[in-house]
Amino acid sequence: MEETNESGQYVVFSIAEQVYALHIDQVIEIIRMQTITEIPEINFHIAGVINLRGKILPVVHLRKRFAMPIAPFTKKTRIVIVHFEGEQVGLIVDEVRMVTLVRDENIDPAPDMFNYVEQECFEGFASTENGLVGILNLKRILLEHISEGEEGKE
Amino acid sequence: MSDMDMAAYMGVFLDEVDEQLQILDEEILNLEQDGENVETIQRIFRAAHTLKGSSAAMGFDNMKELTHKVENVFDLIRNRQLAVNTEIINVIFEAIDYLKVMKEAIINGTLAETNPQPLIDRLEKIRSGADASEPVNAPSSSQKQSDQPEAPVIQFDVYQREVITKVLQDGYQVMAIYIRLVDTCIMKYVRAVLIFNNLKETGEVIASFPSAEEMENEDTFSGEFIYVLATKQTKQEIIQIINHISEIKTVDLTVITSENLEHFCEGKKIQVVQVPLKQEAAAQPKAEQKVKVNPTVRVDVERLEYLMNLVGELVIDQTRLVDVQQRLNNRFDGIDDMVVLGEVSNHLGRVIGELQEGIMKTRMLPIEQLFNRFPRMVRDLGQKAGKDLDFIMEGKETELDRTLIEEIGDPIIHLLRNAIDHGVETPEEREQVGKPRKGRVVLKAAHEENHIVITIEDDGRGIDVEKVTASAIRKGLLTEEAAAKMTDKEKTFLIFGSGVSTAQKVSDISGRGVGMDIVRSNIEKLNGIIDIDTTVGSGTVFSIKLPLTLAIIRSLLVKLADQTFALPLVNVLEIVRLPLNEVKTIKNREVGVIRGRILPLVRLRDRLQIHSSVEENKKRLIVVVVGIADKRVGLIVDQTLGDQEVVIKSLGKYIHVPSYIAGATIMGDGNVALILDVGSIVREEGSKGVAVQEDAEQQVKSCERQLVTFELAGEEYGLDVQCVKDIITVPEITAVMSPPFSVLGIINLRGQLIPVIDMRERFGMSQGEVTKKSRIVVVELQERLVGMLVDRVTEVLKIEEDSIEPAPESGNIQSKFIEGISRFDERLVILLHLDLVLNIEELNDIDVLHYTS
Repeated sequence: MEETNESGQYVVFSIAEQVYALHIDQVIEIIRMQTITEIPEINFHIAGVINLRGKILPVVHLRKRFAMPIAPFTKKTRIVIVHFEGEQVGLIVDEVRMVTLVRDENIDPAPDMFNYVEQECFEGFASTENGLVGILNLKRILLEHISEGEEGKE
Repeated sequence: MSDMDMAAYMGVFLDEVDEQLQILDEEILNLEQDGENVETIQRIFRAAHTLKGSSAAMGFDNMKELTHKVENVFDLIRNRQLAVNTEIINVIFEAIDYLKVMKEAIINGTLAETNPQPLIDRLEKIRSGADASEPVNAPSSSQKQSDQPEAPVIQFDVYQREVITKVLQDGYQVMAIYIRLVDTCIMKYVRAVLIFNNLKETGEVIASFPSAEEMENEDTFSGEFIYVLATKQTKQEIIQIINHISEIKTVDLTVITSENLEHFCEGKKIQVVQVPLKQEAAAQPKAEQKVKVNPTVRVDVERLEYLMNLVGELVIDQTRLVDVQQRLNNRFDGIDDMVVLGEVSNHLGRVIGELQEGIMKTRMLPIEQLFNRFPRMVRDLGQKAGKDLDFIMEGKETELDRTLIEEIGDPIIHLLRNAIDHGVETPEEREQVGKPRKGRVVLKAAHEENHIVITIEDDGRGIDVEKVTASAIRKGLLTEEAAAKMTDKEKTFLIFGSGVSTAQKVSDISGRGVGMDIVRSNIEKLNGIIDIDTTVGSGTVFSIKLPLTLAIIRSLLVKLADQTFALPLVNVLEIVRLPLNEVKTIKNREVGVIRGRILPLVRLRDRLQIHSSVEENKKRLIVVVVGIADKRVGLIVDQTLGDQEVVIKSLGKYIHVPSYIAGATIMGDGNVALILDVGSIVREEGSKGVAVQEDAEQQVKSCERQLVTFELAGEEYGLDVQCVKDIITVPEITAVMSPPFSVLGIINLRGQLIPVIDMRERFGMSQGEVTKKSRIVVVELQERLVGMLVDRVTEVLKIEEDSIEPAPESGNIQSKFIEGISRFDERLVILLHLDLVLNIEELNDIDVLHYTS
């Protein structure tokens, strides 16, 4: 890795005016909205699959994952393709804002005031010149299928 | 060799081991059939030699040791010092099997745990046995030898023994050369002397048996003799020298060493493998030729998959290119460069198409790869079960997808075992019933349209359906009442139930508790269909029908709301438009009557939870009838779009396995379509049981009857829908010579010739014109199809059983034809007694010759 231990590059995007980030190593590419094919009887937050240059990838609707109100897709809507356990998975976000450098010392754990879903989903929070950015815990987001009713379990 | 080098060569080495072991397996089987084929022996020898060399190079010493011993045994066979027999073949096979074990051990890094020593000892024993003539009296080879006169006996005296010991110490080879002259040869002694003289040029003849004096006597000399020669030349050279003399029938060389000298002193009859010299001479130059193999490259499947994806991308880009080109064309019409762009785009399209086809074909392999494993297995199984077998394989060149080849192996092995163990009788049993002692097992593969059909056929005792049924009842899988209702075919299929077996005793071969149910589920997994055809006493044929490939399937595209789904075409039986009023609800399940059969219906939209604001209110439902094995279900879809080849892609493990979906594919426009897992839907419906279906049928029967109604001279008649097979427009009717009363002629209905009856004439009505509305109602009666020409088909109608009244005396037609009259609203429908209306005997009189003329 080129970065020093103290800082890393993060892809910053927004969902419902809230700002989130993923470490750039986890991100493969960012593409425009695609035609999504729905699949019956799968997890609610998986929007379906897309064709990415001959590969079929599942796409997770982050608004649904975070139990946020569903908004129509716009011109700014993007799919962030990430590495996940040997597969590629797409994440639907409202808008990709930028790629920014965050120093590790500026990352703090999620504050207690957050509810369970939020606590689980964040690796931490970073304060940048653009304000507070939530760094997502990809594994939690993709694997733990928490519904609203299950708050506080574990 | 350093570890790095080892790793680099390991893959190549392992591939080679596989290849050579395969050659050994095949050729040794040939050897067992024909122990004298020089070419076979040469190939075996070469394979063993290669194995020895490469395992030594890789430093696998115990592997090298074992192959070395195997090679030694073949060396003896090659030099005719050892006769091939079952015992030897068995040991060699065990050695080969152990080499396979060792290969696995190399992969797993546990080679040190293997111990080939016992096998090495046994191979060594064979070798020393041959030299020392511990009788290797195989039944096969002893038979061949029995018609041969006694070979002369070697017995060295003390003096000769000393000479031999001395020359051996001096580094000479001592060989006992057995020669037999052609029986009709005259002047045998002269030839013996000629040979003697030739041999003298190569070394020293120490002794001859019989002695020279005995040979001189033309009357008693049989033409069989042995010279003991001390020489420094090789066996091959000696044989060449002897071959200069004509009229020699057999030559055999045995090396005498200090170890086996004692045996010769005690008196030894040389074990002779009889090989006509001529054949050897002819075969030798051939054996030196290299076996010609098409050069091939092994390719990683993943790499192929990768190439396939790239081609997929090309295809999609190509469509987009065409799109852009068209748009530009409108803007820059008449510009030269646009013409060039068009040409390039067209050419690109063609190349991409061919590239795609080529790569898809690369995935196809001849089934030979799989089949080659079987002769060896069949031989071993046959031997264990004490069955004498002829194993025949056909269609080895048939190509199918490599993943399928891997998957279909187990079911075939199981069915072969079944055929050998339960099908084919013991030789004694076969003799008793007048069959040849040797049983026949045929394994065949062939293409049939978009499928591959693999059959496993034996000429054994067949499957006794009653026994199978009894077994199923005993196991509680079936009640006696249910069994009584079943057809023989259905009963035969019971062997696929778990635990049902006709084996009287549990045998080593297939009594391991793995039942035919495994075969069935394996084949269902591959979307295949299995069928059994059996006749007690004369044999059984299992046939497996599979899609050509698992990666690319022909599929029927259907539409549900705005989504496209693909249904594997192998499973699609027919597409029917079903009027809404023919959908019934029985026990909370929707069923439909399709061609007289009650089918469970599945509304795919509901099942797949596809919601759409557009509710279509159609009068008729589109039903795709699908089947797997013997189960049938009707799927209700919105629209059928036609068939297309699709490449199956996995959805990946993140989505887990959604119910009812087998995978996805990318369509021409780049969109993703889901492939329906017909198997899971059919299984779910089918598991609810035949019973439901029977109930349904009864319920429908008890309360109402379904009729096909038609008009004749203004009156409406009805026939039970079960009898009606088809309703067609009037095709060309071929007249027949001197037809029976009212028979118009015959028509060709999908390849079948059926007679057509003019119903007006039959009922004695006035002749009517054949109009646009005229139809032929094809009915089945006593397993024959008959067409009835009617004025017009009105509808398919359901009537209550109790609405039927007895027929009145008078009417347009004779009352004996009338079963009753149904009255509803303003209509009267006359129900017909079909068997009385159609006099089947009369129709049978139509000579078949007329049909074919």
